[in-house]
Amino acid sequence: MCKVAHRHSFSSHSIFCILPPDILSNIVKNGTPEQRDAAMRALGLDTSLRNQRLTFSLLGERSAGLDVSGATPVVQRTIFDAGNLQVLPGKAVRNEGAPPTADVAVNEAYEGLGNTFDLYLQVYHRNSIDNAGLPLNASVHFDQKYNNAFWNGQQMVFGDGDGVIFNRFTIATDVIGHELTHGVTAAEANLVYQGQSGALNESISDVFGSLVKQFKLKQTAAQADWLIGAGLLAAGIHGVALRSMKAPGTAYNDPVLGKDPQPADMQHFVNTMQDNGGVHTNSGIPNRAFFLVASALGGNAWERAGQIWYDTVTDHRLSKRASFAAFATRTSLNAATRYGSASVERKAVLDAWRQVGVIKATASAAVS
Amino acid sequence: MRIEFVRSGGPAAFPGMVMDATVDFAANPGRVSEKGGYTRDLASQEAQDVQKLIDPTLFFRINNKDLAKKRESGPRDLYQYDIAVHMDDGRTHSITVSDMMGETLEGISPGLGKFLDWAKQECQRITNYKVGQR
Ligand SMILES: [Zn+2]
Repeated sequence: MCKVAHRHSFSSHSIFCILPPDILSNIVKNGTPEQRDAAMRALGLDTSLRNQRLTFSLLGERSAGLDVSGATPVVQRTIFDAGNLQVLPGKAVRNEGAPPTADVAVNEAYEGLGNTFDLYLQVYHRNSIDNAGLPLNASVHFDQKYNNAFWNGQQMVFGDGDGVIFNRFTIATDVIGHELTHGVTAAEANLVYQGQSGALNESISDVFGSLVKQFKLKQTAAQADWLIGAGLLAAGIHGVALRSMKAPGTAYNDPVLGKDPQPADMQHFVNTMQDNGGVHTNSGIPNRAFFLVASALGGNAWERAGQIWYDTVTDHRLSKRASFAAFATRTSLNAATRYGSASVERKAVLDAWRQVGVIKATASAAVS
Repeated sequence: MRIEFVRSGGPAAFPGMVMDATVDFAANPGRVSEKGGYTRDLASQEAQDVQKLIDPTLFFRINNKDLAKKRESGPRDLYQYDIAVHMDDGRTHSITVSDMMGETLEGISPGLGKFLDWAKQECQRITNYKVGQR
């Protein structure tokens, strides 16, 4: 069954529907005319539906579409200076391949975009945010003392921070990876940003944000700090980062910020109307599940643990309103598909979700 | 009239940085107070200006479901603003928006986007107050 067709309840009669886009692209290049036409139709269907979802997600204009040329994808970055105004994108100050400038924020943004592109391409064979070579643009110095960074559907936007709570937002590679991953999620599972699906959306950004940093530093799971946003908190704040994936709830404890409220398991799940139903709070639970899987498997977290999570984010059977339990089930099924149902990878996934209380010990048979 | 605004969320959703503020025009000419202890008396002109930014007739007609759709399709990690208007006759209505929805609000009820900008500036004042109390 075609992944896209399945999600949208279309019927499918073609083997081409079960083939991933890269294989279809090869068929377009090397197949018989009949095969090529079928592959093109399958790609066209895929692309049009993806476009629909991207438009709905305000992901902005896509690039030319799925690259069927077979050429090696290359990153295409442009960094703009918004000049502390609320105008985007601002003035282009560094293009792809240009040497570093005197502005550290420009250079950090350039590097962070490249690090994120590299992880997705080299490890998961994903060609940019939309998997179709979307050029990566970023504006630095947005607004005055702006305490945030975000992907607006077309580009990255970085504030300078107020220097009181936050430093400049380009300082943390994992935060850049986090924000760009929101673009990836919007193009794939498009998890609704509310409640548990919203916390999963946040967690996926933390997972791949952390993997961007680990891949850049070539750190194993044991060597990584598993912090999100180390260096981003201004001097004088009592804290090491925004979140800890290894030990949720321990990233900061400060008279101004308060104490890190992230739960490490379902027993401490926080019910709230604020922050879209606690998306930045309850993400601690799936964050820790990923950390536990990566630690149990050892080695580089982006390899097996990251692959299982990537397979799940791009799994079109994952509902956009998925609960933690539904996501856990899909990670287990994807671990079984890729590594085998009796594999250590699948066992690590089930153990992790059990440890954070998303899968009950007695219910593990249900997802076996 | 009393306007309450609560800011939450942002890139980290720090619990100590949730702003829960009220602008009370019964305290002549107007006063902002935040649950963490911050207060600011508004000058007469500012109180008048802020009050004019809210058109109760239009505000009470705003459909939160439409705003939620707009918010869902926008960027992630933004600050969430819950804005409630309490009328002297007991009527109350509240809306939820992100900090980048000023233009949307301005289109729905002229002045409301500017109120959001004003609330954002007030949140920065409250932040400075909280940091000063440390
Ligand atoms: Zn986020």
